Amino acid sequence: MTVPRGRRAFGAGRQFPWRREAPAAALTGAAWTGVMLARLFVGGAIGTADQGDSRRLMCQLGVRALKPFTADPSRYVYTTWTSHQWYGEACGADGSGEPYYSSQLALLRLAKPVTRLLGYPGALDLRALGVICAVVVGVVVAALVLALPGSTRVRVGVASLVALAVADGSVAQYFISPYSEPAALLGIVALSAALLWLWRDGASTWPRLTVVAAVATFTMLAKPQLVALLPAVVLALVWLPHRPVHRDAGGHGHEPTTGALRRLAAWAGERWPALVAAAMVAAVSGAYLGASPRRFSELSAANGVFLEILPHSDDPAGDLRSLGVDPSLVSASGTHVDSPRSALRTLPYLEFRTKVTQASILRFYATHPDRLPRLAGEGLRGMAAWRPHYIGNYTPDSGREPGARECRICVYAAVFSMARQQPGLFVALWAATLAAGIAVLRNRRLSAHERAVGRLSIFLVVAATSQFWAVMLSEGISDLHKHLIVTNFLTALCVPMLVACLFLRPKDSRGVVAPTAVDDSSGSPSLRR
Amino acid sequence: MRGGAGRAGGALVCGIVVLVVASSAYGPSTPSATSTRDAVPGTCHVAEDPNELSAAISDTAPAVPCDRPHQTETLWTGRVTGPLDAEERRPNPELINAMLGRACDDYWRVRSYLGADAHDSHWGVTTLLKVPTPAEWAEGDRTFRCEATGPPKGTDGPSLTGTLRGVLRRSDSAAYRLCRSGPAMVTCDRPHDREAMSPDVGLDRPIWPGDQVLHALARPACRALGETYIAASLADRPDVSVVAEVPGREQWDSGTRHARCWLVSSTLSPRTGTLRGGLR
Repeated sequence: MTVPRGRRAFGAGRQFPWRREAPAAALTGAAWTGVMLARLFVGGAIGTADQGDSRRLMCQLGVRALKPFTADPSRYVYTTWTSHQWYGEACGADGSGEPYYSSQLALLRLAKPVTRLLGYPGALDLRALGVICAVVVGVVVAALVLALPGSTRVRVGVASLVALAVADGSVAQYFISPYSEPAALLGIVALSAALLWLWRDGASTWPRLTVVAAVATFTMLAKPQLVALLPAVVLALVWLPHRPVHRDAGGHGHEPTTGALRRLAAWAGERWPALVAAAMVAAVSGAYLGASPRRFSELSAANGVFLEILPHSDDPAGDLRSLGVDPSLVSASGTHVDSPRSALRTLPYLEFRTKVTQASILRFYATHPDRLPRLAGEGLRGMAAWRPHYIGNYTPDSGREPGARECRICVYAAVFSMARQQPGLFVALWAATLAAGIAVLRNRRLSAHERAVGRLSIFLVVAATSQFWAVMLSEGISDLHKHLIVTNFLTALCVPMLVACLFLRPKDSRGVVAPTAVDDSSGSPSLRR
Repeated sequence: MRGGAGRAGGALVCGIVVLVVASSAYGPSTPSATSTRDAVPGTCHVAEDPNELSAAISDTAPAVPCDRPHQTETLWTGRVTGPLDAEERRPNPELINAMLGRACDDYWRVRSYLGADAHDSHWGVTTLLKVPTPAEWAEGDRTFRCEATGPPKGTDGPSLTGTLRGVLRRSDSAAYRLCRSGPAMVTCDRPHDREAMSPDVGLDRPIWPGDQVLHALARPACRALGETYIAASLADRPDVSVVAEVPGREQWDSGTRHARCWLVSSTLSPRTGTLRGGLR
C-alpha cells in the first residue's frame, strides 16, 4: 500500500495522528495560558527588575525605561519603555558598546505592536511581552500534549507538570522583564515538544529535523551561555536514522556491514540529513558565539579568576603564574569587577585581558581537577537558592517595599529549597532521570513513541549538566543565582520526565511495535490508566 | 533523481529556516552622530537616560543648541597620554576612569569656565570624563572630553538650560551656587535659609580662644565680604544679614582655622534665588 506523501510526513497510514488529542491539547494549552496570565497580572503585574543587563538588549528597539532618573532600577519593575534615539557605544555591551544579539529580540519586536493593541503606554510595555509569553506557554504546552505518548490523562498530567515549572517563581517573572531569558526558557519547552515529535516514529524526517533545528537555534541564540546546549542538540538530532518522507515505513533493509569504518560510514549514511542539520545549527551557534561581545568574555574570565580561582587557592600567586599573568594581581583576589580594589583598575589587567580567556580557564581546571568538586558544590548550593535575592519583582505602584519578591506560584522553588542542606539531591535527580531515561530507551517492548520520553529525559540531563558547567567554569559565583536559572529550569523539567518514565510500562501480549512504525497512541494500553 | 532532489530540497529548506530564525537574533546598529575628535568646548549634549550620562564612557550623540534642555556641556578637551596611549585597543573603562578620572577634577578650571570670582561658591556641577569609542581609539584618536552636568532635580535627572560658560556672572546662576537648608547643602534655586560666600575667613590664633572671640574675629570680615558679595551696603539691605560659622572646639583641635560666611534672610524665612549682586 502506498500512502500519500502528505500523510507520510506525519506517519504512515494517518492523515492527522493528533486528531484525538487535539481538543485536550487545546484545552490544556488554553488553561495554562489563563494560569500564566493570572499569575503575572492578578493582584498587580509582577516581573523581574533590571540589575543593569537590560540596556544592551532593549536599546536595539529604540527604547529606554521610563522611570525616575535617580531610581534604582533593580528595586522595582518599570514596565513602560519610551522611544529613545541611542547613539554609538551607549547602545551595546557595557564598557565596550559591542552589539549584543539575542533571539529575545524577536519576542520584543512583537511586543511593540501588542503594546499598542492592548492600550499600554509607551513604545513598548513589558506587560505586553508578558501576554505574548503567556500565549506562547499555552501553545508549547498544547504541543507537548500532542507530542507526548500515552493516554490523554497522562499527557495532560506530564505537560501540566512542565507548565507548573514554567509558572514557578523566578521563571515566570522573566516574562515581564527586559532580559534575554524568556526566549531561552520558552525555547527549551518548545524544543522538548519538538524533540518528542522528532523521535516519535523511530526515525527522523526532514520536516521534523528542520523544526528541531529551528527551535534549537532560537533557544541557543537567546544568550551566549545557551550555546552550551549544542552537544545535547547534536546528540538529539543524530540519534535516530533518517527516513525519507516518500519512503514507506517498514524498514530500509540495508546490507550488513563489517569493519568499524564501514559501520561508521553506514551509520553516517543513515543519518546524513541529521548531520547536515546539526552542522547548520553548529555553524550558526558558532557564528553567534563569535559575534558575542568580547567584553563579556573578559569580564567572565576576570570573575572566574578573582572571585573563584584565587580566593579558594592555596597558592594564588602560583595560579596567576600558571595562567601566564602578573602575580601581583593577587591583591585583587576576592574582588568583583566593580570593586575599588578590582584588578580591572590596574595596568597589569591589560595583559590579563589578552592572556586569560575562557579557553585558558578551561585549561586551568583541566590541569587542576582538584578544584572542581568545590566548584560543583558552590554551584549546587546556588541552585538551591533558585533565584537572586537582590532583584525586585513588583512595579512601583504596587505599594510594596522596594526590592520585594513575589511567590504566587513557588512549587518547584519550595522543593528546590529543600536541597539547601543537601545539594547532592540535584545530582541524585539528574542520575535518577538519566537512569530512568536509559531504562525506557533500552526497553524494546515499548514503542518508539514511548521511548522518545527516555530520549528526552537523557537530553534534559545532558543539557542541564552542560549548562551547569558552562556557568561554573565561566564566571563562577558572580551573579550565580541569575546565571543558574536555565540550569534550574532544565533540572526542574527532569521531574515531569521522571514521572513520565515511571508511568511507562511494556506493551502487553498483543504484540511488539517495530521501532520504525508509527505509534498509535489510541492503542497504547501501556500508558492507559 | 527524485530522491536526490528531495534530499537537496530538504537540506535547502532546513538551511533557510535555520538562517531565518538565526537572523531574528540580530538587531540594528546605532551609529555615532559625531566624533569625539570634533568635540568643542561650549557644546551641549542631551543624555536623558542615566546610562548615557554616567555608564557609557563615550558620547557620540549630536550636539544641541544650549538654549534647549540638555544634560551636559563640554568644558574642555585634552589628549590621553602615558601608558594608556600606547594601547592599540581601547583599555577597559574601569582602568580609564582609574587613571584619567581626575583629569576632569580640576576645581580651578571649572570655576574659571563658570566665571566664578573669588567670592562665588559654586555647587552642584559635576564633571564627567568621556573618551573615544573603541573604533575611534583604534583609528588613533586619543581625545578626551570633560563634561559638566548639573544636579538632579528631585527624581528627575539634571537639566541644564543655557550655557554654563560664565554662568556665575549671570542672574540665572542660582542653580549653580551653594546654599544650605538646615544641615543639607543645596543649590540656591531650591528653598534654603543661607547662601554661601567665598573665601572663608582665616582665624589666626595659636590656641583655642573660645566661641565669642572667634565670632568677634570673623563677623567684621564676613560683613565686609557680604557687602562685596551683594554689591551694596548691608545698611541699605535690612532684609539681609550675615552669619559667621566658626569652628567648634573639636574642629579647632582637628586643625580647622577658618570661618565660613553666610548670607541669611533677616526674617530667617526660607527663600529661593541668589543675593549675589552685580549680575547681568
